[in-house]
Amino acid sequence: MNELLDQLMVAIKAGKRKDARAATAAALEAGIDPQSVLDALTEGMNDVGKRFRANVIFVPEVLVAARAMQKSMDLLEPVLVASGIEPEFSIVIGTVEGDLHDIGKNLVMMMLKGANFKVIDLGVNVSAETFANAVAEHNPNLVALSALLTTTMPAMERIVSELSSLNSSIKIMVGGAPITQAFADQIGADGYSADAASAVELAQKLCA
Amino acid sequence: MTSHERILKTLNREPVDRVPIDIWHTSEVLESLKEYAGESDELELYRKLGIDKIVWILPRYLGGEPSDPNAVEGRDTWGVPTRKVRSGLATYHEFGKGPLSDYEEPEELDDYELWPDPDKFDYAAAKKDAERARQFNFQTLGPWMSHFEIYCHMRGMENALMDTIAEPEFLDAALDRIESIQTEILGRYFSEFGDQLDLVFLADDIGTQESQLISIEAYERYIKPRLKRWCDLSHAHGKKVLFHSDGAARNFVPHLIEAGIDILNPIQHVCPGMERVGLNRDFGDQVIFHGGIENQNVLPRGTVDDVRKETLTCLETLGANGGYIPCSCHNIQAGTPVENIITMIETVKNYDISKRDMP
Repeated sequence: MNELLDQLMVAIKAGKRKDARAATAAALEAGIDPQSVLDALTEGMNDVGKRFRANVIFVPEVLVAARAMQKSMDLLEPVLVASGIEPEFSIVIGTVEGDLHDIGKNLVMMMLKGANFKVIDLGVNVSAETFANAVAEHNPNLVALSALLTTTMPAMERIVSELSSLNSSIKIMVGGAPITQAFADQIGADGYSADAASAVELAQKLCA
Repeated sequence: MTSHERILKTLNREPVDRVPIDIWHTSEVLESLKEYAGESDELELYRKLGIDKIVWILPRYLGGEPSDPNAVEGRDTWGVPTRKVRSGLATYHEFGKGPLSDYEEPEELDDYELWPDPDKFDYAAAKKDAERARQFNFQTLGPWMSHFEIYCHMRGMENALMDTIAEPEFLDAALDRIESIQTEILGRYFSEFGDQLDLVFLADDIGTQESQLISIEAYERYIKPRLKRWCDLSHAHGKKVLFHSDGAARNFVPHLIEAGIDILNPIQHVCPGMERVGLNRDFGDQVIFHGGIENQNVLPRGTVDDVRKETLTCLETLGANGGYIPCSCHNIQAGTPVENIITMIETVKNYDISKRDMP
């Protein structure tokens, strides 16, 4: 692989945002095609996800890697758009109504971006209606719901049920500290994952 | 045997008449228990239900701007903006933007105006709370002290986590401040409350639902030595330390023990590595366990029978050789059926301790 892309990957893995930005700028400047730069980013984040899942690294390491990825994306995105390169899959994501917690959701979001998903983030405290509107507007491949509180788990159930009644083909994945596979099955979600790295695998599986 | 004696003897691994039962709850749950028992006084309620409550002694902070406790928006003791938020059946104080989130240099910490002043707590009122807890023969616990958790609130959680990798100088400088202020507060506790304070409460959530929040290297570098200083200070005043971390904290336990904690709470045993049998096998002779009874699914959503089985399993594993104070694994949440809570309490009270290997 090109030396500049190697540098980019190393910078992403180590969470060095200045290095990531510089390597991206240099790669684009050198005329490397944007898809290859994107592939290097995705490969770097994929490695981060693998090490996170294996408990070799933890949330802080993922956050700095994602921050570095974002710095690279800031430069890369306009070039990708200009070249007509678009992510294959899109996902609408949010923390359910009554719940303001988003570190878990944000981690999932960063990992999905790293895997080249188009992510439409609805933020926190998101009602069923807002989810439904976003689904109608963006026609995503997937919807992802997050909850941290045991007291907002009923809101998750309501949202799954309302979205499914509006659009029976929509695929919904759920996660968050108190959520389990059993709860996901009980409320009729299409998938559950326990951490951000597995969420990417699940999303890829559900889109396939 | 009084509640105070029952807890003390459990901590000292001496024989007890029955296993003690403590409870942590949100304000909504307290109200539902008061209604159930027809008792409006909190300490009377605990006595009536046979709960060996370890009573919090938390002086109100009188510094900062005067705030209305019923207001939606406010600030915590450290100046972090808070907002009351309705979450299903519950109301929580959620933190707003961390006041240190845009700071870049350690020197800027001098400019922060809302560092708490250890002299401005209402120790006199809290002294009355401690005296009253004593009249009820309950043990007491306080202050609520933390290094990294307070830093997370002040800095914003994502920033704080990234700082463990990217901003060592800033993190050290802020933790030094956070530590020294609380060291002073702890000193005031010892002088103000004396023998009326039983336990010191230290907390830092270092586990997530699935794994560690930070690496062991970062823990040893930034937090462990600071925790040890507080444990040493508490021990020098004859107080035992109850340490709290949610989540999958297993890999930290040897470090916590080295730092000097005496009691580990809340034992979130559904998290990887926190399985009860292994935890008791590996650490049961080195720390007292406090908590355990599963509070994300069993207590709020399980049947009475589920709660009975869960409580018995905790007693038979975490408490296999004594050294265990059963309690809900963190605050029981709004909407939890009262019969589940009563079942938890009664299962502990009726547990036949002659089955145990130790007192």
